[in-house]
Amino acid sequence: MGSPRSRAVAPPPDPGLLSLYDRALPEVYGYLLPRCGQRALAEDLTAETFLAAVRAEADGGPPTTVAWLIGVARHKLVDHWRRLEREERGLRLLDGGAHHSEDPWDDQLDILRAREVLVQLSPGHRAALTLRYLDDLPVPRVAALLGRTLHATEALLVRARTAFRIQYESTEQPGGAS
Amino acid sequence: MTSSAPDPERPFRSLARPAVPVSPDPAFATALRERLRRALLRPHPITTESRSTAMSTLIPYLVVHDARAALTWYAEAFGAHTVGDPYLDGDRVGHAELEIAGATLYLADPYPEYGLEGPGDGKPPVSLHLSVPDVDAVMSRAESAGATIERPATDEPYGRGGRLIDPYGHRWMVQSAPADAEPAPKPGDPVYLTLNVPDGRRALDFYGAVLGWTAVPGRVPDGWQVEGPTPMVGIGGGSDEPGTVPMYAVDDIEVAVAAVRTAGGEAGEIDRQSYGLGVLCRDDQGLPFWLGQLG
Repeated sequence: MGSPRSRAVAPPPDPGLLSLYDRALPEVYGYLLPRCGQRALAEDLTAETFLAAVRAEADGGPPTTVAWLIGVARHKLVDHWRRLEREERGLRLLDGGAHHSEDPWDDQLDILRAREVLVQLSPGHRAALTLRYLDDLPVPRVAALLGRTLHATEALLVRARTAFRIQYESTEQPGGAS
Repeated sequence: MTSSAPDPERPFRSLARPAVPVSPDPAFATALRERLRRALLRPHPITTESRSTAMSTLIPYLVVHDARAALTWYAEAFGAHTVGDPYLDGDRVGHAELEIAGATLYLADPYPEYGLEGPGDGKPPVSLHLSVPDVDAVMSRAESAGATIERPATDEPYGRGGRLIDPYGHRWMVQSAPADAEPAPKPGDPVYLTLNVPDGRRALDFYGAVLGWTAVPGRVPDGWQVEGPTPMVGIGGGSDEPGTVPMYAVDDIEVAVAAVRTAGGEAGEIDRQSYGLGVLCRDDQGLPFWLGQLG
């Protein structure tokens, strides 16, 4: 279809996004829901993700793909945790570089319990662990997403794993893993 | 249990969770689809600055008998043009989008199987409010094209307007456009701000904390498109010279570039961008700015 210059400011809406919607919606929502743990939040971030795609298409960006949407959803999630972290920062001590080593830990994680533990961690720790392990991203990508240096991200991951382990072990059921 | 050095990450590897599609609540899915449909039809953010009429967000959907003929009729009577290609479903027009005076309209043939029927014999259930510069001209053109005048144009405190029933049975309220409804930026208007900073993500954090900005990743590394503000704002990381560079709208970029040079400034190469033509300039004291010919 033609794109007359008179429409360059308000390009015709690309039907691409809506035709992609039915297929992409469960993918984006399916990415966000287990990482948010809350339906309402997952819905909000899903909506933000798709509305961002509308804006990107209006700005003449390339056609939206599911992979691009998941990437935006990940950014939305990181933004959410950063907001939470800013709000909580005044309430708790900044976790300094106290523990820089880890004891070896060779536990077999109970996935359901691990997920509950993740929700209880601070937003910063949760973000780092989610991106590194749930999303299985290499550390440099985690660093880029969190806007930290590689070194700071590695240190953050050590602290996050330690915090996770402390929380995980404190919720251990008396009967052991079932 | 192994003899090799323990890997502190090993227990965590079992957390890997590839995204498995999950269908959200159907009501949410439907509502979001509708939100996207509306957002897709809204004009480009550059023009939202002065789009203040409440009608601009309302998109009437017409069901008409013989949608093809109706598309032609609306083009003749109201100067409508179709946006994109109508979606054809066999002999029927399944969906068509018209743009009329900057407003958007959907149109389709009847789909009785979905309960979508054209107007019957009774009064039309939906009225369409259309702002035009010259009410009388539009009404007389519509009348000569077969419309029925329901109420001739009169002067009212809110402007001149009249009502007509078009040949397909829909009621139109034709209204003179409010004086302040100026859709496009005027030459000289600032239309875009680019924040050049060393660390874009950090700038986004800062302005997010101070002004509540959110952004989506741009098309360059550490580039961010801020969502919402007018004029639009972009953040570009990786600059060792922090500063904000505005873009000003111009009618004719080549004339404007010549004027920049004549006035003692510098202008770079004119580039085609998604929004139109852009050129980075400096004034005669060295201050950088963009000129943009939008559209």
